[in-house]
Amino acid sequence: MAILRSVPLKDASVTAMTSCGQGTVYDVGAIEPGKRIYAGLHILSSSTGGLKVRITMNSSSGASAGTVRFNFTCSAARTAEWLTPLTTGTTTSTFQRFCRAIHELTTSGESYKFICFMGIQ
Amino acid sequence: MATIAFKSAKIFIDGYDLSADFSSIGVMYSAEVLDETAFGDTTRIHKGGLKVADVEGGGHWDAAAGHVDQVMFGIVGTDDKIISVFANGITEGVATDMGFSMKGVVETFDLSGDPGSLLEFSFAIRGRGIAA
Repeated sequence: MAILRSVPLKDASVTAMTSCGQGTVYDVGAIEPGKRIYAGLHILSSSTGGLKVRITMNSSSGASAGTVRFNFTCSAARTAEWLTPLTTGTTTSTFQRFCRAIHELTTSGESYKFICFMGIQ
Repeated sequence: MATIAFKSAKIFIDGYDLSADFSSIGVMYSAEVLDETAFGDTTRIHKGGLKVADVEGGGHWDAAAGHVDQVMFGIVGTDDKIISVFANGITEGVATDMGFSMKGVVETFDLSGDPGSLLEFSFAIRGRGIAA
């Protein structure tokens, strides 16, 4: 695949996040067998400590927690990261379509702008 | 999703929001078409080949910190730079209003202008595949 149709999972590109939080759960669409699940992150500002972003996936939109499927590198600097896509022949049963981004700030008083996206192709 | 008044594009390159520096952006997605015509065929026979993705654009050159010159000049020729383009702004979780993201190598970062005009830049990034 040459290019990803990317769904923004967490948009903090304008308003910086100043505390840890969980994004809204979104239905990113059916994950059919043989598809790959991609995820990327742009950290758009720098601070001290670090920003850690993860993506969880779940079978239900109302569930409070899911399984962490993507784990971005903790960074205090501007950067962009493209994680290795999830590939399996059994994505339907292994992975779920309800996704959210979780962000953690390693120390108090930090502030980060970022955008996290994912896609299924 | 409907038609778009194209005025709210968001462009992220390698951890920088460069949207305000750009005045044009294009995402090109295509496939190489191979010619497998052989003797005896009565029509040209084409076959789908490798997919190709490029992003090209341009805008107003700015050398301030966090703007296009500082970001782009140093990464020309560098592999696996991540670019994301959202044509209609950003709406979280909306699969019908998606953006485009890819890893690429920055091929060009050019400056040009005429007397009395704003100094403009153009750039092109060529895709490297997104499988890993």
